[in-house]
Amino acid sequence: MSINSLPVTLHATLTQRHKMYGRGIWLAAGLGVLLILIGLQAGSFVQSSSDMLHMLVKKITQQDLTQQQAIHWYIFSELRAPRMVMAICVGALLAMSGCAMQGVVRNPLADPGLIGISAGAAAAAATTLALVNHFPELEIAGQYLVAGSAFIGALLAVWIVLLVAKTPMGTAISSLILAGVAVNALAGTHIGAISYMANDDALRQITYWTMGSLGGVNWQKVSFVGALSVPAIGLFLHLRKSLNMLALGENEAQCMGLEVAKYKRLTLWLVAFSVALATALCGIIGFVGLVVPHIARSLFGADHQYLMPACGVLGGVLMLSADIISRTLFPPLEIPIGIVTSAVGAPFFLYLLAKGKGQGSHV
Amino acid sequence: MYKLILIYALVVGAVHASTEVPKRVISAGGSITEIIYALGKQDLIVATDSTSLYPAAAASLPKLGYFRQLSTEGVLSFQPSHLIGAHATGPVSLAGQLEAAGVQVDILGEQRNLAGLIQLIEQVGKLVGAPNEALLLTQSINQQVTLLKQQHNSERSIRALFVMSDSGRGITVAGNNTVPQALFDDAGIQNVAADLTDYKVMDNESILAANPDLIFVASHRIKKPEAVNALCQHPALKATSAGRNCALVVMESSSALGLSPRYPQALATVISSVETLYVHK
Repeated sequence: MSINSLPVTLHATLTQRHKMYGRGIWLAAGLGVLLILIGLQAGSFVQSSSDMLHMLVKKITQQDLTQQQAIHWYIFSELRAPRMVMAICVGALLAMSGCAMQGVVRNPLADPGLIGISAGAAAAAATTLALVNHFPELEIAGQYLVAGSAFIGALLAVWIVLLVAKTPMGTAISSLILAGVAVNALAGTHIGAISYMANDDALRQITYWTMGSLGGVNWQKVSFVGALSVPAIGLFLHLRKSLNMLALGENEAQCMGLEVAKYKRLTLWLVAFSVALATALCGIIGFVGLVVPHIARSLFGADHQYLMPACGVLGGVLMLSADIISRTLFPPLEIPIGIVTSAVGAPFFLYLLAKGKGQGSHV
Repeated sequence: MYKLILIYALVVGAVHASTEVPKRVISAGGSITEIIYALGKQDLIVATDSTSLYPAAAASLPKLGYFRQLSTEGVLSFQPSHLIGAHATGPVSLAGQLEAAGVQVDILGEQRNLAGLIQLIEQVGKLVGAPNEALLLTQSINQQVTLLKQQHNSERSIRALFVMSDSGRGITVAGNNTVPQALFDDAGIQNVAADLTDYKVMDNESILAANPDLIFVASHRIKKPEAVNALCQHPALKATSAGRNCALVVMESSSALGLSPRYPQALATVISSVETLYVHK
């Protein structure tokens, strides 16, 4: 092979690989559609496919539904459908946040929880749950207060971490991580103190809140999250190029013309906003932000151009699968989705680590 | 005119719907299930939660999980007409989602004492179409409690503690606003944990300082007979009057911790334990 033909061959190889990655992302999206169809059909309320089709035909042709079909239509349209849309939004937000976080700190073991987002949300939610239990007059607005306070608590935790890690040269990653450890510990202590003082009802609610669930999702919440997810996902996609530059090192990125400090801050606030949004409405859903970027990286490589959209799609797919498992494993019981994602994610993460070790490379 | 007739029909329909006798009931919470059984309306129950274990027949009914964290779809899969739940039945979104699906939801009972029990029985009785049975049951409970109180010479000097659970880290005891507190009040004895609200961990030193004469323990904590002696040897209890004499009485958990039609039996256990202690003294 001549020296001149090398760039041509390299270009052809890359083009071929990019085409393959593009197809892979579409394939994952197709899997997501399949999971939506399965998820709409699966649940404690059993109905055959033909009955379901019959119900849909009646609904489309605006015929009256039988009482049985009316209940099933309600389950189908008001319980299953909104939670599946929420699963996609939350999965995409958490996975893209994980990807962005790992890109900024240039460490594949980074998780959005590292900078205290989830812990801040949990501490604020625990406080509000205890207060709502103590003051029954707050009960009507209770779930909105809990979600609102969790959102503010998450952002407050990140603000503290960023404030501590701020240097004249921008945000120092080592300080960021250490401040995150301290804020996590502080939030843990706060939750412990609240739990100790809380009554039986509040204590159980705090426990269930931290497990994460899509049980209370309705179209109102989905519209809210959906409307905020779209610009957030758009911004994550916009950050792909800067994350690729940051992967080369901060000095190198600076030399290439990237405003490193500005982009780091923007990325971290975007991660904080996205995870706070997901956590405020669904509780803590662990491992999605850590495991999905790993899976995506092993399938689509480290180029954020493909990695970021792949994380979004795979995050949605993982959450859809977890939601189906949580609803169908022990019917009529429903396992909190946070338990399912951790139960699936943690062993998978260990497997990836072991595999990486065996190959003598980093995951 | 048509509009008036329509409004009338809707109002009558709504009133009729709200007073309609349920056909398929989901009972959430051990107290509610036990009361429905005590009223003889168990045939209406299609499913219960995991705390509904008494009477034995209730344990074999389909279970929907813990009553504070029920799945809406799981509940709807039994096609209930009504859900009758104990206080704290949840999650918060459950009631709204079920009502939107046409299920009547009634969450009852917050008061953890005899008056609360009587009110709860009356409410459940109305909901399951058994108000007369409810009246008979409440009368019977009131009579039994009055009789027990009359026969027992109440003595405030007895200091008691109710242990709900214990671990290496501390003992969870019943404070005020609990059924054990109500039982102690009706038995005329003093709860040493009355300064605490609900069920709380009481530190070892405070228990030793309070020095209870008599300790009651929930039966779910005592899985083997040896567990009684082991609990008497707990560092927080062994130096107390009760611990030294191992004056420890096991009480059936569902009737001692929740509002149950077996309240008089639970009260009888407390009173007889107090009287036995007197005899020993």
